[in-house]
Amino acid sequence: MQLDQRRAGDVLIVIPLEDRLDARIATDFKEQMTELIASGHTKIVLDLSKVEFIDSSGLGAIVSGLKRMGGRGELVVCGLQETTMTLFRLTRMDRVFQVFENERQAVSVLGGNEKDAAT
Amino acid sequence: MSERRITLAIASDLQNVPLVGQAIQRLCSLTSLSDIESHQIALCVVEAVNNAIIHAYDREAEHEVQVIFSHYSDKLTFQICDAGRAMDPNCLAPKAPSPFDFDPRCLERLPEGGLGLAIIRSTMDEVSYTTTCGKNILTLTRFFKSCRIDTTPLMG
Repeated sequence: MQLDQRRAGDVLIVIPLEDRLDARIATDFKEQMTELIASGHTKIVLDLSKVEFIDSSGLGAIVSGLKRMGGRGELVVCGLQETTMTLFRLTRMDRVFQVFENERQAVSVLGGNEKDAAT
Repeated sequence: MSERRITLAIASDLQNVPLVGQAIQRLCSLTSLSDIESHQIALCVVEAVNNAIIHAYDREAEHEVQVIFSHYSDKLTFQICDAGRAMDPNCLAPKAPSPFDFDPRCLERLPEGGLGLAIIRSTMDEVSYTTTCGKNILTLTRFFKSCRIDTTPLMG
């Protein structure tokens, strides 16, 4: 799977370029997120604006990233579509993740450079 | 009761699951269900097909998974059929505590897996599982809102 990455100060914006984050690609996604976290990124915004469908495997991979942070950093999400937000609510992951409307809001909260974030 | 039925069949490869998911979502969208409801039901069918491929067939791609979509006047049913290893029916029983009943502050205990069936149970009105002559059938039922049985106790 393809992940676009962009820096906004010390915040890393990660954008999955897939319309479905599901069991086909969840393992690959999880491994790529693990590598990013292992390489020292401690402030990550996961922009899910291009993702129309997330299944439990995809959601598990996102949760895995948060757990991999181990409380030493922040992984927040933004750009959820109505359908994917429904999954976060159903599984109560909206209580776990900080969810923002767009990159700019998420980067602002994490103290990054908002000029490099999309609205 | 009149019924309209479509059978979808795919090889047991996860790459094929989006085909089923998108077809089911489209079929649901032709009913009185909202777009969000159609999406949620398609998610349930995807979870069930994923389970069949991963657990019943151990990810072997040379088998077949069928999804039978049936449209009745009062409900939709989805039968996910495989001929692999049968699921333990206890897996369908509601778990206590629910997999969704976790402490959001306790990072280590956040669930990374095992949410598929919980999503199905939360979304569908009825879920049943049978194994007959080597064929496993998971049946998901969703009643149209006006036809749902209200189980709320009458007040007064």
